[in-house]
Amino acid sequence: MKNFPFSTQALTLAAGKVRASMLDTMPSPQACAHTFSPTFEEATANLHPRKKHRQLRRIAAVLLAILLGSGLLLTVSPTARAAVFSWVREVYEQSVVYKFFNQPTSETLPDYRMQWMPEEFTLERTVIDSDGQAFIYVNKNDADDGVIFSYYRAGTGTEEHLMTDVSGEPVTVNGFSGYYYPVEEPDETNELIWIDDGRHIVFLLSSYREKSVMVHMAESIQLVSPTK
Amino acid sequence: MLSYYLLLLETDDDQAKFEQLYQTYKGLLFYVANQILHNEQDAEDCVHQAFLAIIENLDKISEVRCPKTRAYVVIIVERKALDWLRKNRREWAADMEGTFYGVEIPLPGGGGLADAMASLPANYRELLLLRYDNGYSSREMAKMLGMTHDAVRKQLWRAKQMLQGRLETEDK
Repeated sequence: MKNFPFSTQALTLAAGKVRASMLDTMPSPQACAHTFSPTFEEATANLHPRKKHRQLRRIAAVLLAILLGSGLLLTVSPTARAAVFSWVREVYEQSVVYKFFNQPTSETLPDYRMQWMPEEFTLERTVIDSDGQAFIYVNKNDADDGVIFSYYRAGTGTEEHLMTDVSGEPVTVNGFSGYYYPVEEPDETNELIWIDDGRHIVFLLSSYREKSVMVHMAESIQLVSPTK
Repeated sequence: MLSYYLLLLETDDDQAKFEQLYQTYKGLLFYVANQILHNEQDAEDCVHQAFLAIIENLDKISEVRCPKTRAYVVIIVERKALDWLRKNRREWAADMEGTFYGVEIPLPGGGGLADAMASLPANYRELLLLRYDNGYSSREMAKMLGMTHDAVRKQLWRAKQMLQGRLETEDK
């Protein structure tokens, strides 16, 4: 799963490496002494009109911080499953983490396909990884709108990190339990995740569509062939 | 200048935090801006804009002296410098598609996702770092970068699409 392009975990790991690489190219802060010009100092004149407004906003922000500061870890809800394949779901303030535990399997990955989706979407590309597959659909009328369906086989050490500030709504997809994670603002995709305990497979659906549409899409996913 | 920035902050804790940020990173911010703009006065203007943006989102910084905060302030000043270029000297740093490349980052190595991410244009790379390394939501990113939520959402989508494209090219 480490190289799977759309795993939040993979993106997080990659971003950490990029950050380290970026900082390695720069001198240390101590080695960057610079005497700023008088012009820089004079720029303060532009700041005065902002002060009062800024103070009012700070008061609101402090109150909000007090309200939110009561607990970083809201809940931890471990859910033990079958002995051969188990996972836990940990709910944090700004993320949900799935951790999986099972013996590795040599079985080839089953081949799933989505049989229904809103007609404006068309398959743009398929990504095949040794551990999973992803299908990227784009809206024919809006190139910035899309749907990503992906699945992968989870093994011990696999973690799925969803960055979300909601704990999720339980859903059932074709008999498998899962969670729907909506976003409050239309600035990120809603996420639907469900798990096939028997095959040790995690399914993920990301889209800007509402819950009922996403569940409909998820339930249309069918096993095309047992092997890839 | 520091005393005027401190006037914008309400609490002693915020003022102390910002003073530490300012003293620690002002030189680095200038270095980054000057690397992109090659003009000290323009670079100082961008440092000023960056500090204003940092003040607006000071609550997002929990620890001043750590790699994530260092990367965060670098990203903010890089964005300010690129914004300055877009407005004033478009022909200097944009490629044929109007894409701007900021600080040059060596590939982390291994030829995988990190290399692909490092090679992205700065505006896409910055969003992915803020989202996945710093852990900011797109709403927070919109506020700190002066963008709309929708613009951040769309650019994140494009960034992932571009990332995928680069990985596929690499595989061929």
